[in-house]
Amino acid sequence: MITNHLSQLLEVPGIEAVLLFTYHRKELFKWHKAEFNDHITQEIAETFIQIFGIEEKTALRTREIAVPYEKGIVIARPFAKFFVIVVGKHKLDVPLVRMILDVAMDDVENDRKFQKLIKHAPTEKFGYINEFNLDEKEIAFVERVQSGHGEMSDGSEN
Amino acid sequence: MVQKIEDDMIFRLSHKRSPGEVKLKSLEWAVVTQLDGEKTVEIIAEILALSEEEKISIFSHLLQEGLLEYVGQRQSRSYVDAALLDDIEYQFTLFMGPVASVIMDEILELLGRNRTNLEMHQLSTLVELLALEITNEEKQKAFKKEMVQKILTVIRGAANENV
Repeated sequence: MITNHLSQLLEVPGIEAVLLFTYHRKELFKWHKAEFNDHITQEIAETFIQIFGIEEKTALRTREIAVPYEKGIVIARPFAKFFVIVVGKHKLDVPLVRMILDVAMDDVENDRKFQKLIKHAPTEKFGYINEFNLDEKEIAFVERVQSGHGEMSDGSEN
Repeated sequence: MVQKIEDDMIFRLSHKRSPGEVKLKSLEWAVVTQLDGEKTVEIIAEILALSEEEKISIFSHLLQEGLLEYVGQRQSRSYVDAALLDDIEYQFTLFMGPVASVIMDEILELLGRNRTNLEMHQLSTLVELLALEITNEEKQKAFKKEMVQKILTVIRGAANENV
């Protein structure tokens, strides 16, 4: 079902992995090269759950995050109930990936089977962050939000 | 004499010195096994999933140790075919009207290129920038959809040529 919509993405040279997860860590779709395993994909997903979870308590609304790493680049896009992650090599044609995502993710979201699949997925993100994996600044921020001492408006401290 | 390692450089193993005479790390050995006088630095780095830093440091070290013999540089830079650019312009005109041609030339200029020397790796950037000029979201998406198919057709064609 999802593979059909993402088939063009999987054709792009340099694509290493494409993952779709809900914010409570449910895997919706996974395609990856042999060097990726479940542990790595879960770890990548967890990282973005942290990012999007924290972001929910700010006024920031990220449309896309692209992070270079040692062996390539990771691109992530949040949607209401899920997020997509694309991992690629350095030579990845990023503009092409972006255009495919623009087109394909609409098709994914409008797919009735997919809608059924994520019907009960939460839209809330903050509640699913793993506080054990936060750094000191993030913990301080989470504590401030939880104690009701105001939310960040633009990523800077109030 | 090679001064700097570049992606399109091609090396083979030097006859003057054996890798056994030098203490090499495992990744350096992996590079040595890939040297065939045909693969470029970029391709070897990709096969071995080397980072940019690893690529430069390994090739530089092997070169310094006298293990590499420079063969040459990959000659052909692949430019976007004029017919494909005409096709893109035609599609863009359907969405933008007669100003399409002017906008396309402006964007090519922005990329430091013209209709004869746009490199293949710049094609998606050109199309993405063109798409941004279409303000209607639905039309922009339709244009992207059309263009993605065209770009993937080019990629498939290049892949078949390399087989």
